[in-house]
Amino acid sequence: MNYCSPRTSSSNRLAIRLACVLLAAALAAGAPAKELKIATTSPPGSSWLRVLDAANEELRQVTDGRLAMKIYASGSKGKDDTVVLRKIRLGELHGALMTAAVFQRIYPDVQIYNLPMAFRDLAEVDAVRERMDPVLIAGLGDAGFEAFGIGEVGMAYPMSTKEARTVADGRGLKVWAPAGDVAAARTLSAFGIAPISLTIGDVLPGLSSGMIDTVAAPPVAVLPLQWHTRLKYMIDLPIMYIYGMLVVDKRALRGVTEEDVAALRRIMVPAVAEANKQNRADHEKVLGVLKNQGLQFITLTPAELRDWRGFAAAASEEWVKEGVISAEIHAMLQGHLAELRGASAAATPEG
Amino acid sequence: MLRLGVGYTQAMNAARRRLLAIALPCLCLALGGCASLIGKVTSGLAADLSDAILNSDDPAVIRDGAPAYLIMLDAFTRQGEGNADMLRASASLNGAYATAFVSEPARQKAFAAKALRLALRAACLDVRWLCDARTMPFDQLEKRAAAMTAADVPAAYALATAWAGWIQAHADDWAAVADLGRVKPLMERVVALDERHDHGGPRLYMGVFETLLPEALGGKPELGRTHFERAIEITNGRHLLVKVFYAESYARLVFNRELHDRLLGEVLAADAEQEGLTLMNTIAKEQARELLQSADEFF
Repeated sequence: MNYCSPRTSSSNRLAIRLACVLLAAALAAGAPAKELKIATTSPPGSSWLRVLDAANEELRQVTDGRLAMKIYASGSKGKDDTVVLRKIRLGELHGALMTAAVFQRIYPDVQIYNLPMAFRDLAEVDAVRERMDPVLIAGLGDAGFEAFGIGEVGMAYPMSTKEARTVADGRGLKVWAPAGDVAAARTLSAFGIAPISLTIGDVLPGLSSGMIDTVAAPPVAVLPLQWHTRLKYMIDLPIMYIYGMLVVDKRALRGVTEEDVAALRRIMVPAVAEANKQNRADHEKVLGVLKNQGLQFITLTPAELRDWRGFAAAASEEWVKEGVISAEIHAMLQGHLAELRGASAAATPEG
Repeated sequence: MLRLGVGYTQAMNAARRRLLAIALPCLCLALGGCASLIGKVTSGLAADLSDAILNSDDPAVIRDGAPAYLIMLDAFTRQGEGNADMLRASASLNGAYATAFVSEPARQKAFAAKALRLALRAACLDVRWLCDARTMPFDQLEKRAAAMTAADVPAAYALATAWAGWIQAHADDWAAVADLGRVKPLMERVVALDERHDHGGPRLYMGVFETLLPEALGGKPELGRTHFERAIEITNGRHLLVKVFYAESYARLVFNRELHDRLLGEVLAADAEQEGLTLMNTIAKEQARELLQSADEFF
């Protein structure tokens, strides 16, 4: 019977209580308990929260309550990553689920996978990530963050209330860019598109009122946010790879034993990998649902595709020139892509 | 160009959590409907039965006894295919029973699908365009919903609640999640037309809908709060489930422990007995206890 509609199953609650008992025992024994304060915009009950909660429970048990996380969900510690990062710097928080964009001042190269139209498909993403994820994780480490892996959100596609096929068409649209996302704004500018900056929460009202008519977003985000109710067209053009990271400020781990930090890594890395896997599996399903909901998929002609790729290549150059990412990390990505695509494609790695 | 926050792509599962048990308020409406209809056939026996169920303070007895009532309703809806009220009553009871008493996901899905089928049949009879509500373009649905009149409230409310229950039961299915946006315009219009329908149910549902997502992702917690407050006002605070949902959906979302504990404390302190609401209030007390027990862990 479930008429009390418990938020957790009986076995989970039992496990949680058991963990609490263990924690209490540890405290009573004088063991120092460290609670990592982790922020996320994910709401309770979301896949990420369930993954984190399960990992947290395991962490408590494995460390006998010496190390655990306190998850602040639903953006309760800051509605955007910039605010959360500031709180981490001030020591009010210890970590967060973050987008790459927020690291633009600390470790900008972690945004490399965001490079416009860098990947032609998800197979390329997988091959490149296998080689470059460790580089980015190490870079975040040097910047003072313990990162437990990269979690895929998905490939962003242009979606609009109006039919558009070419870059020139796009210039006539009212295109949204997330508030504070400098790289996204620069990319759109490189396409000759003047973006309209809005917070994520203002996108649906913006689409309703006509303030904006176009977004570029991963289908797995568009659907739960109900943006599809306002959109009519989707260009079959994977324009940007979107991802995030679970990071903890290394300063917060001072005083935690090496053994417990190792346990943290051992538990959190597979947890992030699991969330990554889950999102990938959802991608294809969501595309099908969007079609059924009436979204028209626009397939570009080879000439139109070349047009987009040309501007994307220019935008990428702009990223390097403006210092959004370093020339070294850009070259590394292009090298891997060139290798993957074969010598013939090496001359035009963007496209 | 969007570089999304990591978390909110997973919001679909949050929706499932928050919608949990939302079908319960319909129980009252369902049984009320059954009473009036079946009563004509069975000389008041059904009316007495409905009263007994709604005013029971023993959910376990209802859980064990209700299936017989559901079978009876199946018989009536089979006979009375053209009777929208009966179809709606059956839809609501199937949905409420599944949410309240069925724990196996597969059975929950089956109950919810049946409830939606029944509610849609009823809606088709009363408000023709609602037949196509699941497939018509969204902007068209929005316009039609905005043009509904008071006479359309029973059909629209029953469909919206059954639909929400179906989405809840199928929250692991992206196709169901995609439908959430279609339910809201229906319920919004019902609130405007008759907020007192089903003991303030339309306000309660809107409160839950507006708090499904955090503000950062487009939710409107404060608007949700006004819906909950209004539902409390309408029912003079006697519909205890409203306070439970207010605590779970709003107070937890905005991390307001003081409000959370106060609301749930009021539920526990209140007398469950209230004509037509005793069963639900008893269930609300159980839920309040559960939520208070998990509060330390949550906040």
